[in-house]
Amino acid sequence: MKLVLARVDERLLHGQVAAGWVPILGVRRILVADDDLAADDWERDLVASAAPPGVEVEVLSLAEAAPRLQEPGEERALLLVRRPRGMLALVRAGAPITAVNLGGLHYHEGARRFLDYVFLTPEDIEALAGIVEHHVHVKAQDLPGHPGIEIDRLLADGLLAFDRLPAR
Amino acid sequence: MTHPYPILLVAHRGLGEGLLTAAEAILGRRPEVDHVTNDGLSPETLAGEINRWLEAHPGPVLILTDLGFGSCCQTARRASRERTQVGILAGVNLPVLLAAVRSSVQEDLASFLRHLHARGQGSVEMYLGGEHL
Repeated sequence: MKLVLARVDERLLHGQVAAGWVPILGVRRILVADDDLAADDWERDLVASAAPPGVEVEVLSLAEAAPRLQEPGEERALLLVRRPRGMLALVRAGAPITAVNLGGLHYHEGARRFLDYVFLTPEDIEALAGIVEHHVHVKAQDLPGHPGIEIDRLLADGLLAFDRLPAR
Repeated sequence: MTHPYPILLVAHRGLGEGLLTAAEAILGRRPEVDHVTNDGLSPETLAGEINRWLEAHPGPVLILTDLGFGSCCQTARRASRERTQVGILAGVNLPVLLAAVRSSVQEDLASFLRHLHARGQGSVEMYLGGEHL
C-alpha cells in the first residue's frame, strides 16, 4: 500500500478524517492501529461502520500494523493512531512512515495546551521527539487547508517543552 | 398522560444549539431536549458527559446525533453498548427533532426509532426549477 497520511488523532476515524482528509487525498484504505480496539470485535465493527463510501477499513493492533504497512502496493492508505507513543512504536518497528500529521489531542488531566486542538503530556512530547529522531517530519494540522505547525522545527529550537505550555 | 422520551442531542459545534433555537422558533417554546457538543472534548470526556446523562435518565431514552461516522455518534454508541433502552438516531435534522419532541414513551422504542428514521429520510426532498423531482 501507499501511505499518504499517518495521523495521530485520539478520535481515530471521525468526521474530520472521513469528510476532510479522505476525499482530498483520494484514500482507498484506512488502517486504524490500536491495541484496545483490535482486541474487541464490537469496537472493530463500530469503527468499520464509520468507513466513507468506497473506502476499506482495517482495525489492527500496533504489532499487526507495522508489517501490514510494509506490504507493497499502490492502494492509497491512511493510518490512524490514537497517541504519539503508538506512532513512535510503528516507526521503531520499521513502518514506512516519513511524515506524521498531528491531529486532535484534546484536553485531559495532565495535558497542557499547545494548540486549540492539541493538548500534550510530557510523554506525548517525548514520543514526538522520538519520532523526529527517526528523521520523520511531524506537522500539526487538523484539517486540509488549515495552517500547519512544524513540530520538528519547534522541537529542534527547544520551543516545544512541557514547562513552556500553558495549562489550558 | 403521555410524555416524550428524554432526549439528548449530541452534535458538532453549534449544531445542537442551532437546531434547538430553530425548533423554538417553530414550536413557540424551547424543546425539553438536553444537548452536548464534542467541541474541544476528548472521547473520554464526551463519553463521561453522555454517561452522566444516561445515569440521570435510567428509563428508555433517545439520543440524536449528527454524522453517523462522526465521533459524536461513535461515542454515543459506545455509551449505549448493552443498554437496550437507549435508542440512537444519527443524521438528525430539524424535521427529526420536531418529530422526536412529539414522541410518547408509550410507544415501542424500536418502532419509534424507525418512525423517526422514515421521517428524516422523507424530509429530504429535491426540487429543480421549482418543481418537485
